[in-house]
Amino acid sequence: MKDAVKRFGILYPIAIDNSFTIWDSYNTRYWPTLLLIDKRGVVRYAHVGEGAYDLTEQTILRLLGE
Amino acid sequence: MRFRQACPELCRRTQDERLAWEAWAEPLSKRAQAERILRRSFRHMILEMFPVITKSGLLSRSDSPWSDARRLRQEAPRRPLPLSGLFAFLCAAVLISPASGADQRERLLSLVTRMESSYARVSDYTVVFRKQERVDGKLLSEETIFLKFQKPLKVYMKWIEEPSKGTEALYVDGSNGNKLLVHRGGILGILTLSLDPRGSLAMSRNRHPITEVGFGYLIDGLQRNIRAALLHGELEVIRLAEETFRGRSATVVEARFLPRMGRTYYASRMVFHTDTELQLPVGAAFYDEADALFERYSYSDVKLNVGLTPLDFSRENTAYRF
Repeated sequence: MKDAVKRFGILYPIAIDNSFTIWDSYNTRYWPTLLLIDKRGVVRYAHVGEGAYDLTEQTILRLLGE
Repeated sequence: MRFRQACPELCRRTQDERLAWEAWAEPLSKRAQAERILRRSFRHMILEMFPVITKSGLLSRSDSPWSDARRLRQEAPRRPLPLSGLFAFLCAAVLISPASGADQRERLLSLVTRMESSYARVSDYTVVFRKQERVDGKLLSEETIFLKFQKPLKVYMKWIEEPSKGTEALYVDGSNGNKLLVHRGGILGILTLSLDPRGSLAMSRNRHPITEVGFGYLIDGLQRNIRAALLHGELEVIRLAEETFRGRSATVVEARFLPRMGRTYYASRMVFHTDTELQLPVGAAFYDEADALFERYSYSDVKLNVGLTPLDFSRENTAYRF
């Protein structure tokens, strides 16, 4: 993981979920699953699988503006 | 001049043949007409050769060149064949080629048409599918997959031999968000992946997305390339014969594409087998310009119209691991 973070220049925090705690708590079934959680801790957006990148970006921008 | 006098009809037809050869590069309707002219000319040419040769004293009018071949060989050294006779022989030799080429062309077109009609009668099938592809310049090892397919586009695949034994893939057009579900075999089988079927992960070890698996896509590719190449006279048939393929009777076609005028074809050379009973392509191999293999597929244990149900293509199927 450290090598990958270095290789891709990732600056944001990454959670390691080896025991599937986060995976299970959000009832995740498929990888990748993308959840957007607002400042109040409410899940506002979920997308299962690859793709929908434009929609995801628009949603992030909208939530940041709230 | 002597040849013209001996064979005026033949000389007149030579002009027709020239026009026919030019029409060879025209659309199919004109080419069919050209083939008829060339065939008729070849037949008449053979008949007209007899009087020409007869005038040289080699044969009597009643002689047959086929039954009296030995006598022809014995007498020929005494009196050389005149130029007119030699010319007629050369014409005949040239025309043998288009006649047999036309025959191969018709056989090939017929084969393609039979594959299409045969597949049109199929609603679903199961097969053992083997594939070997070159990806990023490297020829990967062969994969053996049990495949279920239902028209229009429902696909379930399970890898049944190493190195990917146990991996499953499911794609149902219009379901699961049009995503490809993949469950890896072995220790990597903890997660089910939901992938864009044309995305980088799904395509990482494949030349084709899962949406292009099966008989339909293969037949479509073969027919498009073969018909286009025949239309432009850019297909050299190397082999068109009957042989055994994976223990079953099949027709093998080996052909080379010879593109001109900037046209492109899927491969430089291809070899494919059509099962005699099923009339479906059960094997296909494609080679690039360096004559190196870049794709090879085969289908065995083919079972057609088996009555697959929605459960066969459901991620909820308890026999699957999605």
